[in-house]
Amino acid sequence: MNDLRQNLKSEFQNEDYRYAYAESFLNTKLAAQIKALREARGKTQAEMGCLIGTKQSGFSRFEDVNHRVWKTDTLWKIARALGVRVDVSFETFGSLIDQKERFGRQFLERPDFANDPAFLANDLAHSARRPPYARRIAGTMAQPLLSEVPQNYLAHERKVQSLPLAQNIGVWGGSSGIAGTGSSALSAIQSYVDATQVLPQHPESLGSALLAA
Amino acid sequence: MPNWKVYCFLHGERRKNIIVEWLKNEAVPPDQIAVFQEKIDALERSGPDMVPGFIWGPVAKDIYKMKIKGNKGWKQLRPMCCRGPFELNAYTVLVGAIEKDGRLDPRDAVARAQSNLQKLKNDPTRRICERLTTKPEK
Repeated sequence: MNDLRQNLKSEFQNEDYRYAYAESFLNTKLAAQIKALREARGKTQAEMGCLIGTKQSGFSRFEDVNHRVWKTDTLWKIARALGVRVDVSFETFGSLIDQKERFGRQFLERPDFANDPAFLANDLAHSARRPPYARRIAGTMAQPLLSEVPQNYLAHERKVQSLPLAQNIGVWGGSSGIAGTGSSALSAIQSYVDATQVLPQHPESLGSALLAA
Repeated sequence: MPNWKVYCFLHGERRKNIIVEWLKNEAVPPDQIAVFQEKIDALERSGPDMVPGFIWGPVAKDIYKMKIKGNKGWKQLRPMCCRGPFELNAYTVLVGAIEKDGRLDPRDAVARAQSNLQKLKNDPTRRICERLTTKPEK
């Protein structure tokens, strides 16, 4: 178990501590994500302010991790300006630890609607050309994991369309940092799944699975 | 794995963690310590770029101010820190301070931070990387 997980597991035994930590993390995550998405879209704070009907100084406070009062209608305005949606849900404290461990720019980034893989012509989850394993892998991807699909995902998608079935999984293997031909990668995954009855959840673990196989 | 490290200055002959001791002396409650620790954890994970508004400055040569805002009635924690000073991906918290009505307590917090930074440069072992609270009371 790593240090952060171990420390938080101990510190979260205190109720006041864990709720304050969770609230602080929510504020940090929102501020950091707004900044990360704005920068990814190449927009300035002034431009964002203009889009949501405020000044640069008014918008800049949303990129401050100490900002604590969030109005959902403001969040929706920001979301619209960034081409994403807002999600509010109740979660466990355990999932907070998972998120904290993965916190960083890559964890926060999301494509806008125009680049959302779910709306591309040959959508990953439903492509008939995909082998069943790839479809099932894709189907298990939650949104945060989807953001971790390699940045060159779209390029992969285009490449996949022109490949025969057996090589498709090889593309996935390649995106997981695995070099190898499509057919050997496919059989490696098949062996792994047959032996463990566990499906790799996303490209990184797929890469680990292939290496293990 | 964390990419950055946040250290605390060790002061006095007994080399005590200056921030842990300051939080204890100021009787800062666990929930406020939690907010401070959360910002540090985020900083260690992603660097200052993804924790916007946490580190301000410089307020003086080589000295930055950490902003931990809290609920009404909470003390406004403003510990002073420096970048490094021995590596790029690190900060060292040098002295604790509280802001009230636009003034720092202690008043000479910045000067103390600069003095502690000099002591640290003279003796690189005078710092530690540890949690602000190891076992909060239940």
